[in-house]
Amino acid sequence: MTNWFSSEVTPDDEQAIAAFMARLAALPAPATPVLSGQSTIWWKAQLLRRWDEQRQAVRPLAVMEPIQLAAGLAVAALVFLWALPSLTNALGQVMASVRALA
Amino acid sequence: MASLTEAAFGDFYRRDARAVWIYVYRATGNAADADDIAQEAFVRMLRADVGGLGEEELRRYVFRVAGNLMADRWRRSRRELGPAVEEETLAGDRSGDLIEALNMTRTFGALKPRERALLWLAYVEEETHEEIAGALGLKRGSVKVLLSRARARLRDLLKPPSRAARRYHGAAR
Repeated sequence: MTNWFSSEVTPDDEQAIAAFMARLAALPAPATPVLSGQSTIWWKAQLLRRWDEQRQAVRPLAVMEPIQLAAGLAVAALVFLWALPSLTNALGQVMASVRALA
Repeated sequence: MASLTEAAFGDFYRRDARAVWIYVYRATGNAADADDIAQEAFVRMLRADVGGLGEEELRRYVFRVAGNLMADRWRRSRRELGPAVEEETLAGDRSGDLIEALNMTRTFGALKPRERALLWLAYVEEETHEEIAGALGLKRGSVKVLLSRARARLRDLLKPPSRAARRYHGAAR
């Protein structure tokens, strides 16, 4: 077996690697960065922060919406059940009157 | 972000944007990705609550965000590609310095992006294992192992070509 798979780095190797990395870091960049200006970055971040804040402010409303809907439906069902005997009674009376008239 | 004013950010951006860009560029090997990731890192820094941090901490913070953004891309793509941009931009000039630069870039580009990022943070940014772990979303123990592997790979790439060729032919047999 050769030392091909050896991951041990000797002090000499370490020196060579450090020197290589230092030379690489000192190289001029082969491509030119196309970065936005500082104010563009700043205002983009401000805008996104504002959106984040808005979203956080509106979040309870968004969470409450289905709860409100469910509560409304439940109350409507309860009212309906509570009024059902009276409704049935009233409907019976109406039917009786209709029949009497006929 | 109580204390980071637009002017303070401007100074910080002018001073450090290029260093962040070069780090991302050397790790990804792609100028367009470096543009995107470097800018996004600064935007995320501003969106976060970094008011109490000093200059050096802010710098580390941006490097960490950039590293995490790169790691996200690597995880998403699952494909680690080498640099192609340098080849195009340096190909025109054949002076000694540029040929050396091209060779160094090719050598570094032969490493995997994460290995490049690890080596860059360790040797150029002189970050600790803990800081590197934070910067690349790794565990501290993994950094030691991965960095050791990256060093070994770079050492092999830096060996004279004849030896490397012998190894290559030996492996091919």
